[in-house]
Amino acid sequence: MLSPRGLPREKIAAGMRALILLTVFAMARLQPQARNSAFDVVVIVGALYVLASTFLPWSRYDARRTTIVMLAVDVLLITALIYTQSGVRSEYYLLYYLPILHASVRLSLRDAAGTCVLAALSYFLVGILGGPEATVTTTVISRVLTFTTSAGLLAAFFMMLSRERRAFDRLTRHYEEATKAKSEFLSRVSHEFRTPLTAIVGFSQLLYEHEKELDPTRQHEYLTVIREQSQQLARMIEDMLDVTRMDDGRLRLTQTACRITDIIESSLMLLDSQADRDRVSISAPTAVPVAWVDKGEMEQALSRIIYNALEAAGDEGAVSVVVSPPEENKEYVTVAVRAPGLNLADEDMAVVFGPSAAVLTQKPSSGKALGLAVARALIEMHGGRVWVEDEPGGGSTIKLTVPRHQAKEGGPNVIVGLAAAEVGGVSGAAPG
Amino acid sequence: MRARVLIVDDDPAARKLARDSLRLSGEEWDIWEADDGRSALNLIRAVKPDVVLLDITMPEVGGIPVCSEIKADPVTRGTEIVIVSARAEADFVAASLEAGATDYITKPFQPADLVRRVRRVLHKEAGAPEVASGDTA
Repeated sequence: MLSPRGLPREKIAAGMRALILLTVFAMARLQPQARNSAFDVVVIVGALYVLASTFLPWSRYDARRTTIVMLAVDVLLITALIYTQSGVRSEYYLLYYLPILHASVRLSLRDAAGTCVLAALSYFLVGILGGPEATVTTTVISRVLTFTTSAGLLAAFFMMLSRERRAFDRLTRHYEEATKAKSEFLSRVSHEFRTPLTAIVGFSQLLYEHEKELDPTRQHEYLTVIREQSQQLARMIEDMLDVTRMDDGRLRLTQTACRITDIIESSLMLLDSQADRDRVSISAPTAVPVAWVDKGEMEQALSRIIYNALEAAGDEGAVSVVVSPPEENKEYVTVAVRAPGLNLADEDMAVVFGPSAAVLTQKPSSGKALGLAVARALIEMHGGRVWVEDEPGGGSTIKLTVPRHQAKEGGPNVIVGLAAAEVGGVSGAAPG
Repeated sequence: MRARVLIVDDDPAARKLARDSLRLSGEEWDIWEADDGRSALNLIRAVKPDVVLLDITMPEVGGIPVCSEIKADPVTRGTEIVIVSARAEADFVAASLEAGATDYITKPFQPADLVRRVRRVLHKEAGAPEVASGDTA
C-alpha cells in the first residue's frame, strides 16, 4: 500500500486525481481534431477547478464533506467533457472510473457506491441527449448500457462490502467491550481479595510478634478472625475459579435424577462449621421430589445461597429451607430459602437478582455478590431460575426452581459468563 | 501528651487490626473509630484528632471526598491524613495525595509498618510518601 506515514489517504488520492485529470486535459488541448469552443471552455475551467480543489484535503474543512462535493463535481465535469467533445461517442467515459476509484480509496464504501450510481446516471443522460455530433450506433448504445450496468454492479458490490465492514466493526466493538469487562472484573475481584487478606496478614503478624503480651482470650479472638477470613478468602477463590470455568465453557453439567433433599443435605456439608449446619432446618414433603441436576454443581449453588442466608440471619438466626410438594408443579421443583434479615433492598441482592444477567460485571461487587452470582449462573445453566420474593411480614425469601426431568432437545441453552454479559453500568476507576 | 487517632473503615476487622496494631506498639494512644465518611467528618470536628487513618472505598461518602473536606475547612486543615486502602492503583494514590493526604498505605499491611508511618506523620519526619504494601516489608 502506497501510504507514507503522516500523509493520509485523502491527500494521496487528491494528488493522484490532479495528476491524471491534468494530463487528460493537456492531451485534450494538444489534440487538433474534434475540438470546439465549448469543449475548450470545459477543459480550461476544469483544469482550474482541479488545480484549486486538489488542496482541499489540506484545508480545515471537514474531510468527508469536501470529498463528497469533490467527487460529485468531478462526475459532472467528466460528463460535460464527454458531452462537449463528441457526446456518446467520446472515449472519455472511462474517466468516470477515476472518482469511483477515488471514493473507494477513501474506504468510504457507501460514498463509492453513490459515485457509481451518479456516474451511471450521468452517462445514461448523455446517451439520451446524444451530444453535438450524435450518430447513435448499436456500438454506442451497447457501450452506454455496459458502462451503466458495470457501474451499477460496482455500486452493489461496494454496498455489500460496506455492510460486511459494519458487521465486522460491531464484532470488534463487542469483543473489545467483553475484554474490558473481563479485565475490570479481574481488577475488582483481586481488590476484593485484599480485604480478607488484610485481616489474615495483620492479625497473624500481631500474634507472632506479641504472643507473650496477649492473653488467651485475645489470642483466641485473633485466631477466630484469621480462621473466618481465610474461609472467606477460600470461598472467594472458589467463586472466581467457577466464574472462569463458566466463562471459557469448561463447566459442563452431567445431569442425573437426584432426590432434592439429598442435594440440600450434602450442600450443608460445604458450610464452614457444624454450628452453621445446626442453624439450618430442612422441610420437605413425604414424597420427596426428584430433580434433574448435576449433583456437585447444584450443591455448590445451594450452599452459596444458604451461606448467604446464614450471614443475613446473623449469629443466632435460623435458616429454613422448604421444598414445595411435587403436585404444585409438574416441570420444576421449587425450593425456598428463608431467613430473618434477608432483604431484597440489600445492594448485593439487588445486583445479583436484578433483571440483567450481567451480574458478574456490574458494580458494586463484593465477595457476597460474587458467590450469589455464581449460584444464579449455575442454576440457570440447569434450566432453572432463582429470584427473591418479599414476605408479607417483612424480610425476603430466595426462591429457586430446578427442572424435574431431562430437557427436551433444543431446550433452553443459557449462555453464562463474562463474554455474554452486557457492559452497561461499568464505569471507569473513579477514586472514591 | 497522647496522640489522638481516628480510624475510619467500613470493615470492622480492619478497624480492629489498626487499633490493636497501635495499642500493641507500646505507646499510649487515644483512639476513635468511624465506619463511614459522614460520621468520620463529624468526629473529626468534634474530637480534632492529630491523625486520621482513612479507607477510600466506603459506602456513601468515600475517603477521598472526606480528605478534601478536611483540608478545605480551616479548623481541621492541620489534621494529618494517612490513607489505608486496598486499592493499589496509581490513580488512587495520586487522587489521595492531591486531596491532601500525607501518606498512603496499601492493604494488606504489616502492623509495625502502619505504626511506623503514623509516628513519622506525627513527628513530621522528612521523607516522601512511600507506596509499598506491608507484605513486601
